[in-house]
Amino acid sequence: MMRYFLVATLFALPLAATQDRQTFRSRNDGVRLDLIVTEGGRPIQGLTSEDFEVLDNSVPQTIELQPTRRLGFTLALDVSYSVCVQDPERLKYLIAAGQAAIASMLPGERASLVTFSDGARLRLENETARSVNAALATISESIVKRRVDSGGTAVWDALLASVSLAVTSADRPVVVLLTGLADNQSWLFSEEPIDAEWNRRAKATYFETLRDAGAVVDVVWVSGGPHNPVDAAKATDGVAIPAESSNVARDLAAHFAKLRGGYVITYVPTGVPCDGNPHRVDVRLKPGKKGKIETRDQYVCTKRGGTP
Amino acid sequence: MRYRFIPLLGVTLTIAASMGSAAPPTAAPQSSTFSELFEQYRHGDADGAVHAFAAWPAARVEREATSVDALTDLWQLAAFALFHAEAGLENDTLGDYGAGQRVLDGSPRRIEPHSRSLWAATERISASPTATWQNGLRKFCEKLYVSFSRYNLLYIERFPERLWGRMSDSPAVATVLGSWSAHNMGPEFDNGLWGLRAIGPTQRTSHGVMGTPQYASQWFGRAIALDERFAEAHLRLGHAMYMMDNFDAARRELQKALNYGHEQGDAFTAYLAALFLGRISEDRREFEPALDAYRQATREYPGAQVARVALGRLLVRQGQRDEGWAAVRDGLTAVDRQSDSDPWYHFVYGALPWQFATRVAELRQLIRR
Repeated sequence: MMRYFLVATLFALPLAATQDRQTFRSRNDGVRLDLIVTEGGRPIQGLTSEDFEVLDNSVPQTIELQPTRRLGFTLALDVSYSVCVQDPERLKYLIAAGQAAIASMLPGERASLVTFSDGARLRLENETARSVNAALATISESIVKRRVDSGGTAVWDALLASVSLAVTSADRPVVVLLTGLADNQSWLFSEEPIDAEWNRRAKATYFETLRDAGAVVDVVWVSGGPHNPVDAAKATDGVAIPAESSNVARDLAAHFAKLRGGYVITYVPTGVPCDGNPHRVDVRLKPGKKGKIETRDQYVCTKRGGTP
Repeated sequence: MRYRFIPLLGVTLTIAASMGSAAPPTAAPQSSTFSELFEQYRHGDADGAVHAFAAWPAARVEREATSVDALTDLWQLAAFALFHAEAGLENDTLGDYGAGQRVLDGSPRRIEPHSRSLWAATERISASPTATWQNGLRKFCEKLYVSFSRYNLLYIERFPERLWGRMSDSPAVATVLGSWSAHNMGPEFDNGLWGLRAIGPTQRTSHGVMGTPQYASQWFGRAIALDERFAEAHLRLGHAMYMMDNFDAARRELQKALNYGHEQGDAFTAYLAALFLGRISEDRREFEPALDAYRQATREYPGAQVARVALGRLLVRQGQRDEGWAAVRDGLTAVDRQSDSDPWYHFVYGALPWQFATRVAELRQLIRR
């Protein structure tokens, strides 16, 4: 039955609608903004808190600023039926992309590994590049020998579970989502067009939660049909790269380098009510400083225990 | 022994099952004939017989073990069917088309010999005179049907026709039929609905009607009329009501499913009922009852992944981030502790993993006579 469903999914579903306006929530103890400042495409480093002004609903805030020192990686590898059984070539591309991501890790950086099909499974947590590389090789070999269970695809559930590993990291969390075709089994929302309105609301809530986590999701995806997981990259300022591209390694490395050249701004909202509503955030460089700032422009201010 | 759903539904379920022997099965010699293995399966080391038979290449199975002509005793036929089913489960070929693409690209179907033997034997059983259905044979057929019909959905066309006439008083069978309807969403699911169309009053029912929760709810209602305490029927009826936006009725049915499932030790049903109650509350922005329901779901089925993801996501939405993300994270390891896959991932396609291993163990006990 699933195979029939996959056919329907591949050819009937429209590409995802344009993302809702970017929104994320504050953390319990304040607001965190991960940002990158570039000039001519190159990150500008050496900036201090004195170089920025941050307005929360037009009210100036007192901020703290730190450079992004390291990245904390989580690889989420799709081992679903469509990848492992229908077309194992897809798996090779995804494994190679995972290895490319790992190869871009710097000394001191750590990574976790999650595999998913219908359900997600933690394979490694907070390990060295070498360990994750070895685990990827083992998984690849097992799948070729049909020793790994494969099933449907619950990308969205698995992605949120993967993000949960990243949120406790002091490093800037990056989830590298290595996936095949569209989701067909997630609980959080479905790609099935059964109840479009419910799905639209559920999807909006989902991406809001993703952004709340402050994680960047880079998506490496196997092309060949509509593929909505790239929306996760759009929603979190990640990049989406076709797995078959010869530039996967280069593009991932470039994005990681860009993220490492960024900053983290934190502040406790002052002079503005924290009532569960979206707040507009303006982050600017003070006069005399040049550069383009990439960061969020909204967050939802929610007090601990409050309602969304 | 571990049973793994994979070939047709595209979902996977592995359940560790104890068949009464803690020691690993000892394979019979490869030189054993099918007759020798079959005798061993019925009266000796059944695990060992299954293990040895599962190691046979398909060509040998085809050549030496598929003929039902010599089997005249109905219990022999039943044992033959189950022996093939267990061997196919063990070597992951049951229902396999060989190359997965065959279904997608429209190539002719070619089912492996274990499945064909399973259904050939049950066809013969179901065609036997009514008087012979005593001494547990009916119970065997019902359990076999409920356990394997979902597993074999794509090629079951002729199976339900005869059997249905003999099982019209079975709430479990009515629930299977309803779930075909509830979880099939269009003409591409032709095979799933074929079975329903073949049955009496629904013969002239169109796809458009059959693939709806309204139609499915009639079958679940029938199951409940046969057995008010049949938890899974309440669960599926509650879900159908939810799909029809009849939230009050959905809650009533799901609460019954939760209560009955809990009382009867039916963890899958109780878990899913709590999960759906949580979703209804969350949809209606009744967040505290939703959190309570998700928490209850994790208690009903400690291996739950989806309930933990749902619980954690809602906690995060409410500003309880540390607890929320911890709950989501806990879901990553929860599944490994109990099973390989959350029940939701089977329910969503109408699969019936419910106590599958237990059912197969009971079936084996029935045929070892």
